[in-house]
Amino acid sequence: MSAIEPTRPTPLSPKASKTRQWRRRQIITTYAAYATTVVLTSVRAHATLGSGVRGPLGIAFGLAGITFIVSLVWLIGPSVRYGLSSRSYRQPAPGEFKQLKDQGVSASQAQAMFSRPADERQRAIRQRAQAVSYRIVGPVIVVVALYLIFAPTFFERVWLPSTQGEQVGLFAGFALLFSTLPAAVIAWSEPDPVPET
Amino acid sequence: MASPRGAPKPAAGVYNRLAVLRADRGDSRQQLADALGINYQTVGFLERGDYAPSLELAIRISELFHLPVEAVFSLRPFRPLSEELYGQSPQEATRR
Repeated sequence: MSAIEPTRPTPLSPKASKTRQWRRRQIITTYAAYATTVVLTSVRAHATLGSGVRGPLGIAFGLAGITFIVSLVWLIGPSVRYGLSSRSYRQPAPGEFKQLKDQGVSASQAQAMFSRPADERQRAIRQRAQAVSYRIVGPVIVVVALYLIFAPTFFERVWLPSTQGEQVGLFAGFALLFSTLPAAVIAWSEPDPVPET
Repeated sequence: MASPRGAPKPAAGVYNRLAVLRADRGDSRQQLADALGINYQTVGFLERGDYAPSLELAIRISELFHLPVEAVFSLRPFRPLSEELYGQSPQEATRR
């Protein structure tokens, strides 16, 4: 036992810990906001719209964009922590950092207390999530590539990412899938946390 | 988890007495997790039978409780401790 030990963790309340329902809602919001932003980008670029439609569409685009950015920022931290990292992190209870600071613990020492190597169950679920993500991302890339290559040959009127906004949107979609899918799979499938006591 | 006979099989397929043994020690899940070097959520998963530990972790858990592995983990439901220790079923114990 080192001289500096974390204070006894406060038992998790359902409010402090994220329930599975909450996590699922967050994932759906992020991906739905992304899809809405991309669709509206394309509609704004190609459709001939009257001035009465342009205003509400602009507002909807702005709201979808903001929702996407906010939920993506929220998702990046957990994605790195739980999808890509091999460490286990414990969320400090409210006031726990301050308590440690009062005990003379430096910020980096306090951070280290809440981080340890992931245990065997955590490593196993991360590996499974990465395998599931691979099985999802692989076919998605193949389908999108086949569509981009062959759709113009077989159909007269097809959607292709012709503007810069649409191309960035498509690229952002792949970046989103690659970076957040393992964590999203874990967040989707993990049951509600158990109390610490 | 001392599963009575006839209890549904745990999702992980392995029965264990972890919850009973932890309660016996008066430890929280976090304290047991700290002693084993694992996450407290993993202790919860083990107790619920949702996760079957590796051989290494099973041995470490057994050593922590100073018990043989087969006293903590089993592929068959455990007999209730009252029956095992005193040869009576919980119903008989209640009648006395």
